[in-house]
Amino acid sequence: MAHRELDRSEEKNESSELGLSPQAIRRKGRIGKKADTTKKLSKKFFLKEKKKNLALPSLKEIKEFSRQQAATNVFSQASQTPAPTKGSVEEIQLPQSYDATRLGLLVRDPHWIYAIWTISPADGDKIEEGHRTKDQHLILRVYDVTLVDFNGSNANHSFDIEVGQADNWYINLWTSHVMICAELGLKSSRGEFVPLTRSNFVQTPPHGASWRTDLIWMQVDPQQRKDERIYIEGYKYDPRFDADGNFSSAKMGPSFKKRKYSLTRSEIRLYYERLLPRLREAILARLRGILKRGRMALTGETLSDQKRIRRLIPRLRQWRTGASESFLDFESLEEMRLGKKFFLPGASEQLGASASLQIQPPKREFFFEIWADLIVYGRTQPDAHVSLHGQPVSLRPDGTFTLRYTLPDGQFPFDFKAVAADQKESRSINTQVQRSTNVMPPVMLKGKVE
Amino acid sequence: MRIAIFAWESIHSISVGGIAIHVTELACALERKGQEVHVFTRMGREDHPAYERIHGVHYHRCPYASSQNFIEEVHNMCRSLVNAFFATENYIGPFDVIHAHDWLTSNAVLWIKQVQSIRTIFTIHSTEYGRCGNNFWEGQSAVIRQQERQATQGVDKVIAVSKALRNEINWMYNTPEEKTSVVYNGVNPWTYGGWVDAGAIRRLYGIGPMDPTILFVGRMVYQKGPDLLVEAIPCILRYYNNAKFVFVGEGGMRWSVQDRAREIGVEDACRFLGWQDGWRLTDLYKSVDVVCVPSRNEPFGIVILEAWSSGKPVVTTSVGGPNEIVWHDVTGLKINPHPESVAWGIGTCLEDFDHCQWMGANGRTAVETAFSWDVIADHVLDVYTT
Repeated sequence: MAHRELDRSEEKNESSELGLSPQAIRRKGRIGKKADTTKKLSKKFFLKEKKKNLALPSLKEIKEFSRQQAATNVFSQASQTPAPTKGSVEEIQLPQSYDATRLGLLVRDPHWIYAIWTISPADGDKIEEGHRTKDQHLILRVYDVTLVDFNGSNANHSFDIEVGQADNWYINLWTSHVMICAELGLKSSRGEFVPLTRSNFVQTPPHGASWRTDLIWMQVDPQQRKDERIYIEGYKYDPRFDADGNFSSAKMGPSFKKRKYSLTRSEIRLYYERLLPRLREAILARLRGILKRGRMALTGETLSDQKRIRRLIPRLRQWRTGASESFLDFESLEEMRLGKKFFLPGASEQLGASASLQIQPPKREFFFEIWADLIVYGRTQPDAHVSLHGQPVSLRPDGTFTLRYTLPDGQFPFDFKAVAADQKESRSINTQVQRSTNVMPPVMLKGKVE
Repeated sequence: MRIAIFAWESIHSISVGGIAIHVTELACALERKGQEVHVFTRMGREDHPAYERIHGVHYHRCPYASSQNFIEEVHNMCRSLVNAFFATENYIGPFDVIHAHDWLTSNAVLWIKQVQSIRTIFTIHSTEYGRCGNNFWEGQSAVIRQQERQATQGVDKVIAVSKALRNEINWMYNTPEEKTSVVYNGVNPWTYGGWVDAGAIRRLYGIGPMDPTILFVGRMVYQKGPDLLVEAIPCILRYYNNAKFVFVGEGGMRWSVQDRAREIGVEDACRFLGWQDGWRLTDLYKSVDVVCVPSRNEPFGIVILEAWSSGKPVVTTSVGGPNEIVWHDVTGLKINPHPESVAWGIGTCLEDFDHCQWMGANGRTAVETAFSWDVIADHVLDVYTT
C-alpha cells in the first residue's frame, strides 16, 4: 500500500542519514520514555530536519495521493474492460479507512510481534491538531503484562515506539514467553500520554524447551464429575470408553481386525531350515559315518546298503531321536528299531519337516510303474437279488454282473449273497483277494547312482 | 575328532560377555556329538584347577601375567594358551582342529600354525569397527583391527555369526567369499522353558498382573537404542495407559535415559533394573508380553533368541542379524530405528494379543529348529570337515 511504501522510504532515508539500521532506531524509540533532554532535543532536531528535507506529507496529502494512485492503478483500469464476474477479487477493494480506531497484535515468533492499526478520520484530525499545537506524537506503548490482571497501570514494564505515519510495525521483544498488550496514543513532549485505543493481549511462545524438570502432580478430586475430565473430547471417540465414560482396556478399536495366518508349525520349521542349507546333508553324511563305525559297512553305494539306510532313516524321522546321536551306534539303532529304546527329543534330527531327508533317487528319465485293477463278475437268475457286504448289486437283463475296483496292496474280502426272487433260497460266496508288491531298488547296469 | 577351542572366557573360568556362553554351550554340544573337545581358556579364580573335566568337556585353565597394556596382556594369555596346547598334545596326541574365538585368542592359533600344519577355524563375533560404533579409530583400536585382519587371513576357515558380519569382514579385511561361512549363534531353549506365575514376577517389580509389559534387554549404549524406546513410550501410553516398560542392563546411557523418562513424564511406567542375569532374567523373559530390540546396529542379537525361547514375540529393528532371522509378522515385527516406528511395532503387538502369542510360539519353533546348540554344533562340524 502507498502508506507503507512511504513509511519505508522515510525510514530508509532516516536511517541512512543517521547511519543506523531501522531496528536500532526502533530501539531508540523504546528508550524514549526515560530519555534525557539531549536525546529529546536531538530527536526534535531530526524531526524538523526530516520535515524540512523530505517535506513529509500530511495524512490528507497521503490520502489524496493514494486516491490518485487508485485512479491510475491496474485494477481501476479493468473497469473499462468487460465487467468481471461477481465476487472476483478484482471487484473488491479494501476501504481506505474504517471510521474506527483499532489496534491489533499478532505473534510472529518468540521474539517478534506484529502490530497493525487503523485510525478513524476524527482521530486522524485529532492527531494532526495535537501534532501541530501541543507537539504531540503518535506512539505505540507496549506493555508486558505477564501474569498480571492488567488495569492500565500495573504492567510489569512498558516501552514506547514512535511510529510516525506508519500503520503497522514489527516489534522486537527482548524476552520470550510473555503476555503483551499495546496502546496507541499521543504523547506530548512533556511526557503526557493520551491513549486512543488498546490492543488485544497476545502470549509469545517460549524460545526453547522448558527448563523445569520437576514433577508436577495433578490434584485429583474424588468428587469430580466424570464429564469434567480433561480429555472429555478424547473419550467420546475412544472406543475403550463406554457411554458412561468408564474405561475398559479389554475393548478394542472399531478398526481392529484379527489377522489370520494359515501357517503350520512345519512350514515355519521349513522356513528356518532354509537358514542352514547344508545342514541336512551334513547330518546324513555323519549318520553314514556312524553306521560305518558300527561295522555295518554301509556306504550307500551297493544295493543292500541303500536298502538298509532307507529302512533306518524313516525310523529316525519317526522317532525323533535324541539330543545327541552319538548314541546311534549299531546296537542302539537295532534297539530303536525294535522299539526298546526311546530317546529324548532333540533338535538336529527333527528337521524332517519334508521328505528330503531320504536318499534322492537317481535323476534319470527312465521309469517303470505298475498298477492293478480288480474285476469281479458272476451270474444268477435275472430276477434274483444280489448283494455285496449288504449293498445291492445291480444285475444286467441277462442276470450277469461285473464289479471293477482299483487294487492297492492289502487283503480285501468279498462277501456276495444272492436271494432268489421267491425269497425261498439264498446263496453266499465269500472270496478273498490279496495283493503285495515288492519294488526293488534300481540297479545301474553301467555307472553309479548319482 | 579331537577339537581344541581357544577362548578368553567361558562359564567355568571368567564370564564376561556372550562368548562365554557361546563357547561353553558349543563345547558341550560338540561333545554330545561324540567329539573329544578341549577348551583352552584363561585362569579364573585362584582355586580353580588347571585341568578339569566338566560335562565331558576338558577344560584347561591357563595362568598368565597381567599387564597395564591390554594388548600386551592378551599376548601373555596367548603364549600361555600355546604352552598348554603343546603340553596337552605331547600327552594325548595330535589335535585335528583348532577353533579360536575372536581376536583375543587368534594370535595363539597363528603361532601354532607357524610350526605345525593343522586345520584352524576362527569365529568372529563382532568386529572392532562395529564395537567402536562403526568408526575406524586410531591407537589401540588400529592394533586390534590389524590383529583381526591377520587372523582372517591366516586361518583356514572363518565363521561369522551373521551374513551382515560376513559382508563386513569381506569388505573390511578382504577375506575371500569361499573362506567365510555363516553359523548363527545358538541358545539353549530348554533354559527358558517351564511355567512361572507371571503375576507374581510382575508384582515383584510393581507391575499389575494384567498390564501390558514390554522388556528391553541390552547394554544401555547408543548402539542398542534404549533412548528410542523411551521416546516411544508416550505414544504407547496414549492407547495403553497401563503399559509398563522394563529396562534390563547397564551402560553409559543408563542415567541419561532415566532422566529423559522423567523429563517426558513417563518414569512411572518404566522400571530400570540394572544388570540382571540367571533366574531373575529368565523369569522376566517368561513374564513379559513383548521383547523390544530397538538397536541401531546389531551383529546378531541373542536377545531375540532368548525371547523366542521363552515364547515371546520380538519387536526389532531391521538391521544386521535381526533382519536375517526374524520373519516379519510371523515370529516378530521388524521396524525402523525411530521412536514412532517402535511405538507402531509395540502397539501392533498389544492390539492383537492372540496374534502376539502366536508369534511367540512360532519363535519357539524357530529356535528349536534352527538355533539350538545341537543344530549349531552340527553346522560347526560341517565347517570343520569341509
